[in-house]
Amino acid sequence: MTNATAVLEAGPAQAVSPRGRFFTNQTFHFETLRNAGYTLSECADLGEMLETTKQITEGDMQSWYAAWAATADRVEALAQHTQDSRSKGGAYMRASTYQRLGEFLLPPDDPKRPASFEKTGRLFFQGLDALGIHYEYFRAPFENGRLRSLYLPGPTASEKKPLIVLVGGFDSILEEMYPVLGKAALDRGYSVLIYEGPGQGEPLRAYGMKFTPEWEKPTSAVLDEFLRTHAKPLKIVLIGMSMGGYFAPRAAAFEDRIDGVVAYDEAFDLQEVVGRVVLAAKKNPLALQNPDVSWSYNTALWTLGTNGFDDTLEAFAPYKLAFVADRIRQDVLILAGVEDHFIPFHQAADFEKSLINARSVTTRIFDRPSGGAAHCQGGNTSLVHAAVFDWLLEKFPGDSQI
Amino acid sequence: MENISALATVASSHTKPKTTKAESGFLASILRRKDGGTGRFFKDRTYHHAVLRALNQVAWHGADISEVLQATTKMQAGDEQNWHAEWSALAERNLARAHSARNRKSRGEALLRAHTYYARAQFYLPPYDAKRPVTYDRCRKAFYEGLDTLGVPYLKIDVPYGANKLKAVYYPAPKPVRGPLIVFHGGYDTIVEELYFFLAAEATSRGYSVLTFDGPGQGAPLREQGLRFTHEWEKPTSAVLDTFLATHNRPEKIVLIGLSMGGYLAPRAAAFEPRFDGVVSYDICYDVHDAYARKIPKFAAPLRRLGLGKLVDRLAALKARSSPELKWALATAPWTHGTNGLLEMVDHLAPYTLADVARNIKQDVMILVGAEDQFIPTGQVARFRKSLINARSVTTKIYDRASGGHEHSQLGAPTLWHSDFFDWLEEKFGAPESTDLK
Repeated sequence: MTNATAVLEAGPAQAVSPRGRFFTNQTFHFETLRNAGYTLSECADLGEMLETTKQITEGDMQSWYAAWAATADRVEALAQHTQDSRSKGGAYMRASTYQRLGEFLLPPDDPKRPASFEKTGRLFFQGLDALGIHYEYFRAPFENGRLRSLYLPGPTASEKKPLIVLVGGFDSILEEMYPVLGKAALDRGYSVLIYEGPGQGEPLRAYGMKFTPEWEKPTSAVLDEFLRTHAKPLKIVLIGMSMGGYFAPRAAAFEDRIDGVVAYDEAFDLQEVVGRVVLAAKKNPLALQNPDVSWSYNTALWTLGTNGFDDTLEAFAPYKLAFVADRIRQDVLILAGVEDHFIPFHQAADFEKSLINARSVTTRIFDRPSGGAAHCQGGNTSLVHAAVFDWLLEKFPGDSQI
Repeated sequence: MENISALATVASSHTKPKTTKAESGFLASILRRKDGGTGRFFKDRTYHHAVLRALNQVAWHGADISEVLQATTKMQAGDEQNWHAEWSALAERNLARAHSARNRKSRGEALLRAHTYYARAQFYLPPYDAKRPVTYDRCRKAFYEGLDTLGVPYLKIDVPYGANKLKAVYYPAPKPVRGPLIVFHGGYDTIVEELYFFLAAEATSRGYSVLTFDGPGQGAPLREQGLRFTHEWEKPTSAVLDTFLATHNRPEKIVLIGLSMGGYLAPRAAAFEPRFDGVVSYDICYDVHDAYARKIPKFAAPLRRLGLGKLVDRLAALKARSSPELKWALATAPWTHGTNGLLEMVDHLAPYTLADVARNIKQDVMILVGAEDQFIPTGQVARFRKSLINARSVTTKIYDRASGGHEHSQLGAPTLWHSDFFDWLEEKFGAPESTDLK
């Protein structure tokens, strides 16, 4: 999209200079970069990822899956024959990352998906177990199904800090929230609660639950279930990643138990986001040969239960924070990358302006040299960690710093 | 990168104006030729490797990926000044982040990243470039400030070495443990601080204490005292042990591990130093001389016999213009070895082989190997193994391309060799009594 074009046009001639990219195609590049960034959380390692990219035919989703699944198998075998518990746990986590990454670009109805999803989860929990990380895994009742949730209690004194609640977006599953922010929060002494709503992870796959714009409903269901067996935390901060940049503020607008909300990155108007893809596909059928278009479009059909261009575009009409932003009274942190290939950049300013009743609004923008220009600062989550945890210290000062 | 008003300028400097052009660009991108992943940052192997060396430290907060990739888009292999400028700019950016960060962990991690980027910046500079000492000072300062900010315990130790001083840094394990003390040094182009990321951080979190040092030819001893390499590596190593043991209890077991050219230096020291119980070549470097000698073209020997050695050197200098690797080797040798020209350098390296001393190695030995090591021919593995006739045990781990660990020192895939190294330690020397895990 504009991002890929800008990179190619702004960069020096390829013959003499590296591109700083894993693939030319933005989807293939971005999804690799996003997960390479989890090296920071010891849930990926670069050498094995670089080798895997060499096995992939760009644009070929099956070759993408085969290469990542093979690496996942290799690293799982490594975990199995490793004694040292940190190495063992790290290898399981990496295997889980690669299995999830492989499945990511498969067509929604690909028969490999169910087994792959299950394997991603199994490897992830084997990783937590080997690493000796405490957790409570539960499912919150919601409508006709249940919402997968994972509570990671922090160290002593974490009860004096806000509970960090994490939720993903259009394409996230629970397991990814650990390398993104979960581990960094635990390392800094916070407790973490991760959940999936309808349209995501297990609720989508096991119960056929499609996305809802009324994200306060699943969020409240998970909070209710959690608070049934846990003391109410002093403060609760909700962080939504990617399309969660819409979900989290939307939930906060209706859920008083949330004290602070982070749009990571902001996603003020999803219809505009999806519209770019849908209109490109509608205008020129050739566009559906590009993974940038086909993946987004096909995933939308699956997660929203729509069929056809107009239907899909129409279904996204309610997914706009403009309708509810004036109800958001919490402290709000807005993150944005200037070259986000999904979210048009002007939405950061639109969102900021619409928050007329928020207790405070903080916006952090990441430009290209910072390494955080991509959607959700893919490949450079240290920027996100620094921004989020400083904001938490400022708005919700805890007892200790680390 | 602060607020909305500031960003109009930021955005406009990097993205095309928003017109219908965006869409034609979008369609154009659909029709663009496909290419598979190259898995490389530079075509030139040395420069690719030098970037991987930064990214190798991501897991210990010594780097982050996208900012490094962005910086590489402005570099060209062989241009050391530009290389220095881009890495320095990235380091300064992270220093600024450190100064503005409130959260202590974020602040400390930004300092560690600044350290790495300064270390990368100085790497390709000519030895006597005026920017070297300044960059090196900033590099060290950021590192120790980073450790202090993060609350990482460490002890700097000055080691008397003749009229000079070697620099050691000791990282005690969080709790008293029974596991062996790990002594870890670098190779041809290393500084002691980076050893924290290569191994010390990971080892202490598993309950091992680690003693790192810069010997002659490395880090501060080279830069501040002009101390050049010696093949008799047992001398600096024993000096470090003597000084350390003068103020610390003698550990039950001591294991020595050497990085890169340290894959030669460590076994050499172990052959003469019985206080070591185990030794690790990370990676194998059985015969340094051979690794360089094979790069001399065949026609060099007859030319030399004709008294035309200078011509060979001049041809090598010419070739260096198109080979960043050779350029760097020829530029640094006068500094680190005191030699001039290719032939003198190779002659000087003649004693840098384990062939004559390997039989004296009686310890448990671990040999790590990258199957496509750009410096060391893999044929040296068999030679090394065969020569270890008196070792208590020999364990070899070879990493192939598919594993991602095929590069020199498994750069980019540290989890692979860590896993094998710590398993080897547990097998040969017993596990630490407890770690932070269970």
